[in-house]
Amino acid sequence: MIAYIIRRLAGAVPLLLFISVVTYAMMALAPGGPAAILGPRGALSPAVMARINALYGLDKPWFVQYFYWLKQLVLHGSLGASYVDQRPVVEKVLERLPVTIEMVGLALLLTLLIAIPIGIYAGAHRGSLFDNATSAVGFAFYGMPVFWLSIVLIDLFAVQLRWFPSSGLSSLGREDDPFDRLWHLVLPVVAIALVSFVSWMRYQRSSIIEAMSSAYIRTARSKGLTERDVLVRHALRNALLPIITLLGLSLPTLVGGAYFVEYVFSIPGVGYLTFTSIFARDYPTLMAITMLTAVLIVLGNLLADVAYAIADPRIRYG
Amino acid sequence: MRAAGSLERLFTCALIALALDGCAAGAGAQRDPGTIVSLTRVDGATMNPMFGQTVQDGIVYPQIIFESLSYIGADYLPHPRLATSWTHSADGLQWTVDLRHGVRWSDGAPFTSKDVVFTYDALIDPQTASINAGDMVYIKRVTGDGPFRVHFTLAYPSAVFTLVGMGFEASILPEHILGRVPHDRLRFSAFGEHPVGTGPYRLLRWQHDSETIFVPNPYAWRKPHIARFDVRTIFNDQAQTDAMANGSADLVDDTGSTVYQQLERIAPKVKLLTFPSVYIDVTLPNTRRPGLDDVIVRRAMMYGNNRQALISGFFQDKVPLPDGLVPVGLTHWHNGHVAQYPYDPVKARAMLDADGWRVGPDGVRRRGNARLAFELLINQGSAILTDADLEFTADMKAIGIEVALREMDFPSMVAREFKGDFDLISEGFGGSVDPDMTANLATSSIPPAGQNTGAFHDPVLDRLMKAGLTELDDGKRRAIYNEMQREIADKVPMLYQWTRFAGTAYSAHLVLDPKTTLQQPLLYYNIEDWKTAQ
Repeated sequence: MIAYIIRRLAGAVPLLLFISVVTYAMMALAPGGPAAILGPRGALSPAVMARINALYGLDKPWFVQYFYWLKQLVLHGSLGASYVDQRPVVEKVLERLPVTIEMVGLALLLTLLIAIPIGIYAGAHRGSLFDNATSAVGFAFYGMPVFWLSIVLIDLFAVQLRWFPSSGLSSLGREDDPFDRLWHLVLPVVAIALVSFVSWMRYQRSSIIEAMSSAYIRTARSKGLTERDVLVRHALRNALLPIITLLGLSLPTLVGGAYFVEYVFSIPGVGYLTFTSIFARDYPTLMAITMLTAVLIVLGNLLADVAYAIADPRIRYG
Repeated sequence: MRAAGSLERLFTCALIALALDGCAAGAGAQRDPGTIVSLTRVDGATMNPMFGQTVQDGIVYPQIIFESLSYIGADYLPHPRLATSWTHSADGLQWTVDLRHGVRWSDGAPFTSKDVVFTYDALIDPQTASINAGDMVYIKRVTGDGPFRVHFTLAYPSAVFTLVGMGFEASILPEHILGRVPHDRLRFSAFGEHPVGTGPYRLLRWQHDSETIFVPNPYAWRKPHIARFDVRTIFNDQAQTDAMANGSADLVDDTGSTVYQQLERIAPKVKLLTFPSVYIDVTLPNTRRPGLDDVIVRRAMMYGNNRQALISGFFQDKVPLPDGLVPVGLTHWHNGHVAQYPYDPVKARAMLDADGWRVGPDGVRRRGNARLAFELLINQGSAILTDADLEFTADMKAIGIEVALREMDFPSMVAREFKGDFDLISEGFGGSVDPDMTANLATSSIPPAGQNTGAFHDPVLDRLMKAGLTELDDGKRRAIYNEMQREIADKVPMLYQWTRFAGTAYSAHLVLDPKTTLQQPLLYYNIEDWKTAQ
């Protein structure tokens, strides 16, 4: 297993390099650069703009800039400093990470709490009214753009009914109050959960259907077990295995953030930082976020495979 | 079963606790009576005013922490601050500035002419790459003459020297802290996170994009009354409205028309001020394009555009209709006796017909190979701007001019603008309290040399702008700008649409004098006079 993990990690290096080249090229070739948008329109003379470009190495071709970025990362372990405020980008990302993990983590928890029981019940009662109705409702939410759903939730629950705040993480003066923070996170968490629960639910439903048609289930039934016992003690354990894979794959989302939700609800997390960095053409920050997400995708995949092997003794990696 | 019942009760209790907690927060939290909470949509990125890129870090924070030789007063004119007086030679090239005695930095060190010399040396050095360097191009040299006097040598006389050259664009920085930092490293100095100024406040804590707390500078000569000034970043209009309504915030310095309308409903709980803004929203034509190079077409576009309907519909007639590029609010400079463009589509069509622009089978006018069909670039994200520009396209269609909207992100739009790759761009113009427009309209400012991105060129305007910028006599200068405004109204280098809305909302907890309060971002010039209600 250890050898397998090492091989997978080594194999990820060229993949990450490829991702970094493509990302850097896409950013550098996008119209407008950091110097062009510094300050209000017309504030910079061409000489000052040229000097700013030179200070950041932006006067060189994009592949040279990329080489410097990579050299800095490999030799000094540094992802550089932001063009916007000159702070180390790692510091900027790390200070926002807890907020994003908290919000997306809660959303994931809520999603699982909704999706897994519904998926199990729907799978066990395939074709029933409950099965069809939950799928229809789930797909309806799935089809809604999350930014639109977020605005609808704000309008209904924050503006009209005034049950929840429309944005932010805390009320003024109550920054250390966990209940207040939770109250602020209700709408963004619900928005994420509503658009994502159906995919988890359908995975769970399919797993249950597949498990229920297996030979060992027939054996269990033939032993005279009740349908409830068959479902809970035999089908469910096996049907939960694909969820482990999905949990591993959701790791990057947990850190990368729900971009639109953070933006609409003014949550100062990694997603919001990504948005503002794109508009500021802040290449170092964008590279740091992209690479962090890429690393987590690789690790998430690996974690899922390892967890799968631990959970299912039939699976062996060599 | 019992376990399920307990869980259910626990869940119910948690929900009730959350709901009660929510209600408590909605009703307004316990507030420190000595603190004023101000709300902003966008935080700054640095506290070093040489590199401030946004309104917040380029103008607002510098007025709170730092001081400059002059400041803009309620009359929109320059007044001495770290300077006590200034005089100039007859040719306007030599200036002597006397400095205030007894001023100290927030670390206790004394302020002297060394700080002024250091600041201007750094500002005008291209190695520093300060975004304010463009405002100081005429400053050749600054020398100290004892601890409290400096001499400026200018390359040419500048009428905006005391307003801009000595203003917040040149906030004075401490030589004893930054003097040893090479100019090209100033941008990267930790000073941007840990500033030391002579202003009324010092920075206590800064959590980027969230909270910035200022407390009185113990050494300030302008002693503030308010014990703590807390700036919160809230990007969402509804949240700003909620915070003002429930009493957890005291100030929204720039409400925008939407928040203002919402807050009007809870007045007088919240006090509201509106100002004739110094910004005008314009549609900038690229005069390199056939059709847009024709002044008759530009005038017809003005007549064919129902600007008053836009102002009524989107701003409830709260903003003035601009009659040029000098905002109505700049009463010292504004000249209303210029050509006016009331909505008159019949006249617009007649003008275009007479100019040889005939309506084609597709409803679009053409003359020879040129068609009056243009693309209008707008910055994405503003619903009002998009709606207003849609109205503009409809008005233009009615006079035979096709305008297609193209929304894009700001950096992409700026890139196309500076390449000259556009027909029309919707953008803000102004912001200065001085009528000089050399950077945007002079022939010498056509990119890459400057920011005249519409490539407008007119020798009469060039002459007037040059004369206005170098004339130091106020009366003569006003006469020059009166003429310049007549020329602008006649030649329409930009289609001026509406004056931008400028509103400020503040709670009963904050005491401001409306007579001396300026619009954001100049609002903070007298922050030491602000008080909390007893």
